[in-house]
Amino acid sequence: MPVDRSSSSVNDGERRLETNLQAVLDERLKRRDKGGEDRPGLTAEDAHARLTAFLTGRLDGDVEVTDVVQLAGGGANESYRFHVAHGDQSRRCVLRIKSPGACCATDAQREFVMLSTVGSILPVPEPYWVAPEPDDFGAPALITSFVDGVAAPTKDVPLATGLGTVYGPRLSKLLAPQFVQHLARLHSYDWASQPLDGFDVPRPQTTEALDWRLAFWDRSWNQDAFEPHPTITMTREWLWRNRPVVDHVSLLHGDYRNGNFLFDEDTGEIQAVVDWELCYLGDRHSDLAYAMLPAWGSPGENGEFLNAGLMDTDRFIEEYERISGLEVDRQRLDYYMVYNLYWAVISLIGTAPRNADLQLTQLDVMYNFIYPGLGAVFCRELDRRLTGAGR
Amino acid sequence: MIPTVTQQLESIKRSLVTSVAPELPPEAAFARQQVLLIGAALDFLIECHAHEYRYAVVENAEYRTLLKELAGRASNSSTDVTDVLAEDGPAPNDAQLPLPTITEQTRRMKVLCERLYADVAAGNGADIPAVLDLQAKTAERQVEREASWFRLAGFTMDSPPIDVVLGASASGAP
Repeated sequence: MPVDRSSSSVNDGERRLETNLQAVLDERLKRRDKGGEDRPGLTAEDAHARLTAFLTGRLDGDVEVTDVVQLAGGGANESYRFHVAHGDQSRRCVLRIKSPGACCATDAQREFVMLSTVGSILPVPEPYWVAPEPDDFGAPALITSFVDGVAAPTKDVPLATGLGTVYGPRLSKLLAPQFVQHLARLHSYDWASQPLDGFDVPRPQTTEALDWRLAFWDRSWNQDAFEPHPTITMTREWLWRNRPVVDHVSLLHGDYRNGNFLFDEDTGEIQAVVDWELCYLGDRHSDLAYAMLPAWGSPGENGEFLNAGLMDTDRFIEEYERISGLEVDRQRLDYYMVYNLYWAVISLIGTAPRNADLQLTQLDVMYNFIYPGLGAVFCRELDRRLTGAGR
Repeated sequence: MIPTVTQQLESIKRSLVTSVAPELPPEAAFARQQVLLIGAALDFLIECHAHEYRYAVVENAEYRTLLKELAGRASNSSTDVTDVLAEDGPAPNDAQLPLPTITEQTRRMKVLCERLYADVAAGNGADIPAVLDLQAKTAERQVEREASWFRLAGFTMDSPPIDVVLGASASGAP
């Protein structure tokens, strides 16, 4: 029997969230009301046909799409790499289709705009085209350049001791300074003159940026969760009660961690920061705290804890402050640690199992098993931080 | 119940690993990743599935206690709170016995029943018709459960779903 939660204190109907993210959530509900699709996602053959149709007319000369291969992984996007030749030119590309059953509701337009904006300050895939409507690929999609590189070591693979990617001493030393530098540049970038279509712009010295994010995740949980969870109930109340003012509004990646950048394994150079679908405008401490989540870290050579498998906390903050010119407030860092665990749990134990149940994703085995497992780790960490439980 | 769900899950896992995975072409990265995930998910089910009922019983008791505590402190407790607390729930000690313990105990009783039935049937006592009737009714119910349990194999699709059969047995219906 469904439980009526409309009159409870978790009703979020009055809280504002960003305009186009509200539209994404509204659209998602409409899609669910229509019922499940015959098959979530495309076949490679279907992707090939749709790509050919989409690119013909957008590129000069005869268009030939070849080597369409679905990429492994991808919680929010169904991704294919492919090769396109037109006239005497050719390029390798990636098609990222917003999965209707993604574990987070995200927006192709925002991702495309953010990639266009940050391309001048840090390495990212070059955005070529966006298809904001589902007509072309069955769901909103974007096409970017294909970037060479690996997300995790393939040679001399270190023994994994945690959940995050582990790089080993040589690569850690090479990657860590770049990891901090890219984040610092992103957060200190003056974006005021940029046309950030698809984003609502929050005012600094207010809690607007945070309010909109909390409202988004609250709405996601209320739409997706099969039943209440005591940790979510407790955390939601804590987050609203303790929200800090956002002193400086930065461009945020939203999922900045080990595993979300591609690097050259030989030189250790970061080729591109990827997976921008959770980007938004807000408090830099959100990205910093996310990169510092214990789950992504691993011990270094001397047993010290390396955030994201790369750098200890003091050095991370020191370097970040030096490069960005922005202060790091440890208290706000703590707040955003809780915030990040909160939204991650909503995605992992709320949205993922719901979409698996609705058969909206090709990743349903992972959504029913791995994601709730990781969610349990994050819930335990939330309990520990908020109540001291689980120690 | 033979075979157990655990045995079936184990066989599915073996078939996946030994028959399906090696046939995947090297370029089928997504499919290969899915096979690995399915294998891991099967391991998870093999470990956990037998305890789902106990999990539910423990959780039921946990939230019954919390709801009582909160209802006693909240300024405005509505009838849906008192109603749900008045409903029958599982006894908390239902969670004490793991499924394998129950099935192992049942198996020992089956062996003993077989021995005693043979003992009684070998005699010429007046109890034989009654014992035969008991045995026949037990056999009928056993087969009814099995036919229902395996109905999706296709041969006994006319059987009611297992929740109906077990619900009727548990309520004492004929």
